[in-house]
Amino acid sequence: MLAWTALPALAQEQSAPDPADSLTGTIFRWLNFALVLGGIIYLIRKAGAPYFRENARSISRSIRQAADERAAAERELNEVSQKLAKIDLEIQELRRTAASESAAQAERIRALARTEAERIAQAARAEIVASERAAAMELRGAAARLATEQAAALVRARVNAAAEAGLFRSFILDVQKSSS
Amino acid sequence: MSTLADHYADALADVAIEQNSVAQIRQQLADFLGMVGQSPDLALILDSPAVQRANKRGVVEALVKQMGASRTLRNFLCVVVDRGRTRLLLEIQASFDRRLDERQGIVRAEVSSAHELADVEKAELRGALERLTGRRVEAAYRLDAALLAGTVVRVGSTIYDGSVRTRLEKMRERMASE
Repeated sequence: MLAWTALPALAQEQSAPDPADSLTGTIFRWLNFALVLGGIIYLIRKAGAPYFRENARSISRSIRQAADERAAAERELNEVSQKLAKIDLEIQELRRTAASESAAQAERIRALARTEAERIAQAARAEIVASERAAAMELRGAAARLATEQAAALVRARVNAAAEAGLFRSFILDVQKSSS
Repeated sequence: MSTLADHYADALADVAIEQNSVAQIRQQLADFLGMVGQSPDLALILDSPAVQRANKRGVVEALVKQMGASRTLRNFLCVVVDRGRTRLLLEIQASFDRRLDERQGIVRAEVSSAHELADVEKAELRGALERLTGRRVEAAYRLDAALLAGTVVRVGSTIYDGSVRTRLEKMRERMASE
């Protein structure tokens, strides 16, 4: 950049003869250029070295941090991989447990259903027996009613003075028995 | 437990027995209450608290005179009217009949039969009931064709049932329960 800034001055010098164009002048210009360049390099070295060292340390820290993070990530990955590997076992265990529980539950339900079916069957049998008994009673009642109705009709049709007298005699005897 | 009507009935029974006019007073009391029962207006006059007792007494005296009833019954009815107990007359009559029966050793029997009992049968039945109760029996007879055949006697709260209807009913119950 310093060379570029020096070029216009050199261009003006060429338009007119200048003592600086002599060999001595040229030597001094190159010396001047070397001094300026040396100063710049010195300044750069003096001010830039700590910056670059710090930058290098920062980069180094970042690299270490990144390495640590990578190691942590790898550890996590390993853990996850191990867990994933265990998950299969856990899933198998869960499946086995679920299957056994399902079987037990199914057995319980079957037992419950058997009990309930037996209870319903017993209730139905009891109801049938009760219905049979009620029907038999109703039948006996109807038969008895019919029989007595027919008997009453027969009595009405056939009772005569002799029968009435016999009944009266029997009644008197019953009353006399009551008094004794 | 003796009721108010029993007290009036006792008093009338005492007088009737003392005067030896039990049957007469019993009949006259029954006739008087029969008249009252057949005339709602008369019953209303005797029962109404709005009619003065003197007026009720006048009505009773007029009726008794018309019936030709005894002075004993007239006096008794006037006492009942004066004491405002005309509402109790039916109850008094029932108690009077019961007490006379008790004092005379009479028991009443209601005899129901499917056919008319002959006099011999009635006498035989009365004899059996008198032996049974140890008292004189006054029986009232009625026909009841629903008995089919046989006889039913009610003495007080006791029933002697010799009817075919009851026998058939018992037979029906036995057949139905077997």
